[in-house]
Amino acid sequence: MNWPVYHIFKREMQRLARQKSARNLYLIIPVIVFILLGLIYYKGALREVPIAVYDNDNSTLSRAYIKSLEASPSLNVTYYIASKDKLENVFVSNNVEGIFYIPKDFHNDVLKSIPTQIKIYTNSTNIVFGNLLYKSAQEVTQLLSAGVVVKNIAPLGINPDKIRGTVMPIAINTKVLANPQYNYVYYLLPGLATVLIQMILFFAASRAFNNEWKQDTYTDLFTTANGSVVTMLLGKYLAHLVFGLSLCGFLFAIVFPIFSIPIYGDIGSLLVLMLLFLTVNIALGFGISLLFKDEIIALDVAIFYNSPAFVFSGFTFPIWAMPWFNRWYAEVIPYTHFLTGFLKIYQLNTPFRFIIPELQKLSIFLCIAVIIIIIGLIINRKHIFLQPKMSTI
Amino acid sequence: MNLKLIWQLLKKEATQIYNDHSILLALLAAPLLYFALMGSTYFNKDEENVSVGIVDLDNSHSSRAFLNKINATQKVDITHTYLDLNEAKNGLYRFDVQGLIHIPSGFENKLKAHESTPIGLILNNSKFLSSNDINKSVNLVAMDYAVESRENFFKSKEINPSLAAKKAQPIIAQIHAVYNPANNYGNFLLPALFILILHQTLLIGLSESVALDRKNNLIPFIFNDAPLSFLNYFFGKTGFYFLLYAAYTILTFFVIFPIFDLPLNNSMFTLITVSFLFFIATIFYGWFISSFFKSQARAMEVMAFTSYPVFLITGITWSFKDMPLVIQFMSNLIPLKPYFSFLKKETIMGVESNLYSNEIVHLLLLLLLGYVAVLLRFYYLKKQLLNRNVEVA
Repeated sequence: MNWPVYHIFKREMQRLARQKSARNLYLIIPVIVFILLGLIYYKGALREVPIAVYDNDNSTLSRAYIKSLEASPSLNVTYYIASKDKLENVFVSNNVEGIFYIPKDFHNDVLKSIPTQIKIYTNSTNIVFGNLLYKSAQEVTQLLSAGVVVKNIAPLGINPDKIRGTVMPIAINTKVLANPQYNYVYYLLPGLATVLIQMILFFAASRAFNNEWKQDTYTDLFTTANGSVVTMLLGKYLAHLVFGLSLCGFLFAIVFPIFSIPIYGDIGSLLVLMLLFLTVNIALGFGISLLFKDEIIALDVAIFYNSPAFVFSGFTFPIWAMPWFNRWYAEVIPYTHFLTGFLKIYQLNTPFRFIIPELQKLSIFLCIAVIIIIIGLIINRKHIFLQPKMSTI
Repeated sequence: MNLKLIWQLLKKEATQIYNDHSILLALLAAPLLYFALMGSTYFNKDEENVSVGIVDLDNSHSSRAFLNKINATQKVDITHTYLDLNEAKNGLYRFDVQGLIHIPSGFENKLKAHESTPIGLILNNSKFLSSNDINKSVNLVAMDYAVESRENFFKSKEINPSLAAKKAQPIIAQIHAVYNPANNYGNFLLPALFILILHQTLLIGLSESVALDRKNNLIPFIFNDAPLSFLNYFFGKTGFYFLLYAAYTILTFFVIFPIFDLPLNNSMFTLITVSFLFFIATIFYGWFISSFFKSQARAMEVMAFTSYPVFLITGITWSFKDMPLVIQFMSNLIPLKPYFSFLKKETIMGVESNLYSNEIVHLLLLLLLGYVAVLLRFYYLKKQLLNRNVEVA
């Protein structure tokens, strides 16, 4: 064992444990935020979205339609609109997300083969509700419509075996991979938590060296490392890695089970990906820390670079739909590439070889981090490579 | 109130902001940069041409026609053709495609024989938006086939084409996405995102400044400077922030919203007035929280990590009533919650004023709560200082 590395590692572990900032970053923030995010989405999937119905027909068929709406697990009829209600206020005054309007003569028109339209208004200020209502409204209406068609074609003479093929010729067998439950906890919590891990590590690492200068402890660090920058970097890296891995352990071994989030993929592959991801962020943070002697500037850079990582990652809005500059920016954030690899393993359970492209891209980030570290070492060489006299003080 | 003193404090604060590059960056550069960077991400507002792969084992005229129809939809772009499901699965694993359409052999024969013709749709649901769009497009095309098939059946029974068309689809769901006609992601997220950017940069900038005051013992110094009343101190300290964010509010609603073609449906006067109240409440909250920090860096770090939780806890992306009660309670204590609700109702939905009066009352109550909290904290710090001075004397 290279003992100076161990000494630096031990020193850094103790330094981080003593620092209020590191305690906030590595302990308090993740515990509060991860649990909070899980609690927000703890129900997983949306069920029984409140809707209002205006039955202007009040017929057997309209009531059958309303019963179908009530039977849908996604919908819950909470309000029946009366003629005095102002339609434009119903959303807000009755806390509903959708309005189903059944027209007058609905039943008669169906009997007379006059196409009739059920008007559905969705409150699409929140597209989560908008999309769910669209899907449910289509399903319920198409089912009823198909039922009417079946009743109409039966008396005309048709082979019973052909009814289904005539009414719905193409049957779509949908197989949903990666989160077939459409569960929002499974979807959002892992993504948000991992982006926070990136930010935490980056922020903490971006103060690894400049904080030593600020606290006047750099000479001690230099002496402990026997004047070797590589030893300093390695020792500090291992300490931050331990904290980073602890965060991952907390996420995967505690938070995931609490919220019943499954990991479909291979843990070994996940570990390799996480290790490289953590390493890249620590190294980039170190680079910033060596480049900017003022830790506040370093932190500013870290915040500015990392804050948009989730938005740019393509997780909730695809990268290909962004303008070219944003697409480019997305590419220069390691989280974007980590996320792709992470989703491949964690949700799609892909074999290891499929995350090699992401590992390669993260390795490029590691090389860039090394270059930034070297530039930082050159720029601040006077503060880093202390003269023998200085180092012995 | 001593206006001269307030003016002096205001100038002192402006000088501090001007001289501190980090605060300057948070308050002056970050809002505009994030508006441009994050706002432009959703400039196209919606995704198009989601990449889809196909495995066409039938390779017939009918299967090609079906796939061409799917490819002609706005949302789907068939980018990859695979020879078998294994190869296709690899494409899905590589994230080359977001979904797969599998057409088995015998597709055309079954279709012509009016038999139910199953096809496979495999969706990568690790990102909900793309998965939903593919599902929707494929189902719509299948529905077109159903209508055509029914129509042909009725025609074959010597029913005139016009009546056959009517009989083919007796009930239609006409869905209107109200307040966001294209049901797109940009209109859903951007208004809240712009406000969040202002909220977070204000919190970060203010917290840095207050933490700096506490670190440099400037708050006690201000107390000593003159027998200031609370209001003199508070107006002087935070007046600059209010004026700056009042200007940002006007910029946001008069320039940024029109650039991104976001709706502004109701009284601009009400919107601006309530926005000012919101920022005053945020300043109270920001000062109170940051008065517990004595380190600028720690204040920055902690505030940077509040972005995601405060945004998501407001229920802007999820159903508020489906969150645990404790989370709902916490959310109701944050000024963003009633403000987002007000913004949605007043500006996006354009409903009558009595329908958002609760949100204004809620915001006023939080403003009062913030005021009381700041007042108590202020007198606590003052008392602490006086006690310390007595001890020193």
